[in-house]
Amino acid sequence: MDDRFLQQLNKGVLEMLVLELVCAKPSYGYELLTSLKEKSGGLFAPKEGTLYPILYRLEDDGLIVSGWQAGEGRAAPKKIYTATEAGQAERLRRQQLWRGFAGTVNAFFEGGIPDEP
Amino acid sequence: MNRDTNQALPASVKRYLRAVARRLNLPRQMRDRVMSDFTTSLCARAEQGESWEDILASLGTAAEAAAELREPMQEYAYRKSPWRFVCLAAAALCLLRLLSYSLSMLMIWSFTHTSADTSVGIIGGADGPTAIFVSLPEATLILRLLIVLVLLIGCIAGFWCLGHLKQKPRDPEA
Repeated sequence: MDDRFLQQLNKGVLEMLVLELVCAKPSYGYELLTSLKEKSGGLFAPKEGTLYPILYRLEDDGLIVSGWQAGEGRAAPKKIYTATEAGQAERLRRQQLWRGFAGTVNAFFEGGIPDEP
Repeated sequence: MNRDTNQALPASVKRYLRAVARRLNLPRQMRDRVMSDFTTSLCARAEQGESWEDILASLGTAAEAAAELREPMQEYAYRKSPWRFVCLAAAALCLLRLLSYSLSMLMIWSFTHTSADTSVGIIGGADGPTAIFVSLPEATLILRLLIVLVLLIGCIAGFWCLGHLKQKPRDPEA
């Protein structure tokens, strides 16, 4: 039961966090996975197969773009995702939505509802 | 996949990646997309000091890695129509018919194969032939055999196509 609830929460939040990370710094898939895991203290540890559909949805919606970047020294070229202007704007919109959403939910826990969600 | 990235990989890893790609059951464009990200991840792990043996061991067999990549990608996977089984049944019938015609051909050929059975007829006026008919005892059978063969190929193609339908476009509001 708890696992299912956590999965559903993850599903909604992951896309927002991936966009957040890509907006902060152009990244490749593995980098995003490790960042998510480290920054969340292990709470968000999606597998590659879970991350890719999120990246492709964001890319298809025009929020991020992908391109190959030559590696330094002997490193192999990598497929890097970069946020577009629309992605940056969407990131701010989602941040605002999340703050309002989280504020309302927290208010339920604390026994009151804030004036402005 | 990027050619330079591919060249940087050991042969065993290239073989492994090809095996994973074959098992993804995704449309070509999506398969290339997944494989380019997957390869980038593997290269990044190798650059961070993991050995290729350890990386491949952590992923399991190519079938296991493909299954793990494919499972959350269902919205992009090929759609399989149940109608493909009608094509499969038709293909089975065609195959039976083909075998029966082939057997008949073989029997006729073994019993009556002589050049005297063949006749050539030319119909036409003095200014040249308008039609040339070559009649063989097996001619009708050969024609039927060819028709059944074409039908069989059509049914197999139909079965394959109905098992590789593209997903309907994603509803952005969903």
